[in-house]
Order: sequence, then structure tokens, then C-alpha cells
Amino acid sequence: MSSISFLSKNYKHLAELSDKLNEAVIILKKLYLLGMPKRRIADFQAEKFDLDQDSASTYIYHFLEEINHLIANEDEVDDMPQVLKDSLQSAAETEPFLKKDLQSLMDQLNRQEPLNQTHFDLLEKLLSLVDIDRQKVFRKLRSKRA
Amino acid sequence: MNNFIRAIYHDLLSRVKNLIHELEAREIHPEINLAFVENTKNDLQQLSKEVTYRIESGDLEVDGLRRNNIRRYSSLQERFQLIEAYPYQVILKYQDPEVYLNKKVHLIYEQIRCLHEVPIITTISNFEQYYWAHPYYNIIAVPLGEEKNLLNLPDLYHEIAHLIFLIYKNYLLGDFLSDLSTYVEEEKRIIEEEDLGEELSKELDDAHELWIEHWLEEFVCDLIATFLVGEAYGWSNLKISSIHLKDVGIYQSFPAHPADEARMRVIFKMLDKLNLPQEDLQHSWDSFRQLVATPKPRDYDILYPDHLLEKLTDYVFQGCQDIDLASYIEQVETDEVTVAEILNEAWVKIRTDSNGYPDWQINTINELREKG
Repeated sequence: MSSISFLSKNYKHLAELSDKLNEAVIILKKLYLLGMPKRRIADFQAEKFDLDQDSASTYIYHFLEEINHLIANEDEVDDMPQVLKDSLQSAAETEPFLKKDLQSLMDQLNRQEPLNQTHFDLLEKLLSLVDIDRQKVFRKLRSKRA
Repeated sequence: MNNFIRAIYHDLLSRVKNLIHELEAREIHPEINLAFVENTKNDLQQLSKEVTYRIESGDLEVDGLRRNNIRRYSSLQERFQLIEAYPYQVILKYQDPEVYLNKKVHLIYEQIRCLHEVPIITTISNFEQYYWAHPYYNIIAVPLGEEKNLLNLPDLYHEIAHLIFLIYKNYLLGDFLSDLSTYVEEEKRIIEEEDLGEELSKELDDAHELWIEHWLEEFVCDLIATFLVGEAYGWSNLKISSIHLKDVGIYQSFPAHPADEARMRVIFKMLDKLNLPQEDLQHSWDSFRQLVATPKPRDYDILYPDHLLEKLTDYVFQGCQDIDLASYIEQVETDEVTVAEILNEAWVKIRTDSNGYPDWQINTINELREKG
């Protein structure tokens, strides 16, 4: 059996994660950076994931918490493809401030206080990491059928 | 920039619509599973709806969302490319070999008592990619020309097993994940106590991840395939080991696959559980091992301990019974001659009458054609 079965599962996992994270970030950006009223955000929100402001914050918080566990080797992180775990751990090694920044963003979300540009920059950085892995897996999956 | 982003969304929408139009206008093979064609059209319609929604939402005009809009585009574009590369190709290339192979897989699903949706079989693969399953499109691909052969067909049961695994993973694994973690922790403790080096401990951690991410599923699929098709699966696995030999040895592990030697061990364990004869296969495998004489890596026995493979076999054997799959033994006991029996017969025939095998194979495939 070839690796297509594995790649397709891995891709699905990464794609769902990155799509949902992107949608969650969009919702919070609209609220905190673009100052859109909640009603209008609701009009725009991704019907696919049924995300509202609260569930977007919760989703992001949970994702950050997983990264924190991963960096600290504190806990089993089951809900993340191995390729992404490796990328995040490597990012944490090359950027020692990542852990502190993550904690600050988690505290902000926990207190339900508005996020600022610095917080969104960090979220964009994390999204880029997920996207790089997703695209790597996608290219492999696509090239199997080239 | 927003103009450009809007433009690429429109371009994608146009491509999706063109493909829907192609599918509707094209003459489709009359014997293809129409539900598969409808599902593919639905996937494209859904994609078209989603791209339209994004264009009309107003998000594309918001400067602060440019990066996110490009991410969304990239995600939608990937979905489109995967539909085009997988299910669309299956529909496009559906011909007479597919008709034969799809009848066979329907027959196999009846004979193994698998009540789930039967996958569509396609010959869009090649000998390098060999057999593969795409679980989310419910596709199994085999190399072009495979409809003229029988000896590799036991591997079809392995691919079917991947689809079964996706649904029944928890039934099939029992407490194995917990057993595996306990084993790894215990081994790490010993490594530390006996001061065997951090490197070995790290190797064990890496192997633990590979077990969970890849190897476990491969072992389970080998076990299910053996449960369903018996000794013939062992023979086709031995054939694959011979092909691998020119590049690697039987003790070589890969990220996506455990070592051939360990895979063969679980096959024998399942044959034991089923009380199926295996002397010839065992003899050939032992001779093959001696012939290749690949050195066993230092950590090999730690990565594939026999007691763990034994436990896994027990769980999968129980799981197969719990989900009511018909074992090879049960299939033999029925009045009908099952595909699994024919594959075992093929492996006996090729070994005992190699010269007579080609004609026998042609006749047997012709009989199988009429059966479905």
C-alpha cells in the first residue's frame, strides 16, 4: 500500500485545523481590529465551522494551550499531526520568546479582553507554520497523482 | 491587491463550474457506480457555492483580511485540485477493467460480510504506487493491467482493511495503545537504569510516535487481510519483500511502514490464530531470510517486541469477530467458492505448476468475470 492513505488523512487533519484557525482569527480580527459590529460579523462568519465570537476565542485558546503543552513536554498532545508538532517544537527552539508571547495571548483571551496587532501578528505566524506543513502534505498528495 | 484577490477567486469559480459542466456533458461509462459520480458532482457544487459565498460576503474588500483571504483561496484551490486529481480521474478513466474489478470487490464485500459502502476500484495507479486507498473519496486504486492477474489481489484485502480501520479503529485496537505506552515507559526506565544512553531512549520515543501515526495501522491492516484471505496474503507479502530487497533489507523500518520482517511475523501470528496451515510459507520465508542475510539493527527487537505483536494480533482477531467479518475459514466453509479461496489456489498453482499457471490464470479470470 502506498502512502496515499496516510497522506490523505494527514492532509485532512491539517486542512481542517488551518481552515478553522483561519476562520477563528478572521472573526476576532473583525471584532478587535476592524471594529465591525457583532451582528455584521455573524453575517460573515464561516457557516462551515459554525463559529461565533466565543467559540472562535475558545478554539484559539485551546490551540495555544496545546502548543504550550507541546513546548513544555508536559502533556500528551493527541489532536495534532506529528509534522505540525515537529514544526512548532522547532519554532519554539529558535524563538525562545514564543512561550512567553503565547502565554500573554492566552491570558488576554482568558480575560476576554480585546486583542491588539501584536497578538494578531503572533496568530498569523502560527497560521503560517500550519500552512507550510499543510502545503507540504498537499504537494506530496497531489504529486502522487501527477 | 484586493482586485487581484477577487480575480483569483473568480478564476477558481470559473474552473469549478467548467469541471461541473464537463462532468454533466461527458458520456460516462454506463456501469460506473452513479452514487460516486453524484458525490463528485456534489463536492464540486459545494465548492462552487463556497467560493461564491466568499466572493459575495464582502470579505474580499477588507484590507485587514488580505492574508486570511489568500489562505481561504489556497484552501479552496487545494480542494479543487484534489477532486480533479482523484475522483474526477476515476470517472474519466472508468473502462472495462474497472467493470471487472468493481464486480469483484462487490463480491468480496459480500463474502467477507462487510456491510459498509463498497469502494470504487480504479486502475489509475502504477507499479511504483502499487495498491492504495483514498479513504475520504472511498477509492481503491490498483496498477494498470491488474485485472489480468491474481497473485497481487490479496493486497486488495489490505486496502479494504484501511477503510475498515477508519470506521472500526476502536474495536480493532482494544487496549493496545495503552499497552504500547506502558511498554515504552518500561523500556525507557530500563534504558535509564542500565545507563544504555539517551540516544536509545530518543529512538524509542521516535518509534513510539511512528507506531501510533503509521505502523499500527499497517500492522492492523496486515492482520485483517490475513484474517480475510489467509495464507495467500502471506505469499503476496513475501513477494513484496522480495521486490523491496533490492533497495532495503527486511529489517529496515520506514516512516510510513514497519519493517517487512515484523509484518511477516504478525501474518504468521494471525495464521496461527486461525489454525491455518503455514508450513510452506514458513519454510520459504525462513529460506528467504537466510538468503538475504540482512543484519538486524541494534534496536530492532526493542522496536518490534514479539509479545506486543502477539497482543496486537489477539486484539485484532477479537475485533474482526466483534464486527462480524467472515474469516477465511468461514469463507471456505460456505458452499460457494470465494475470491479468497481462488487467490489461495492461485498461489498453490504458481508454486506447483508454474508452466501451467498462465493458462490456468486466464481461465480462472474468465470464470470470475462470469461470476460477478
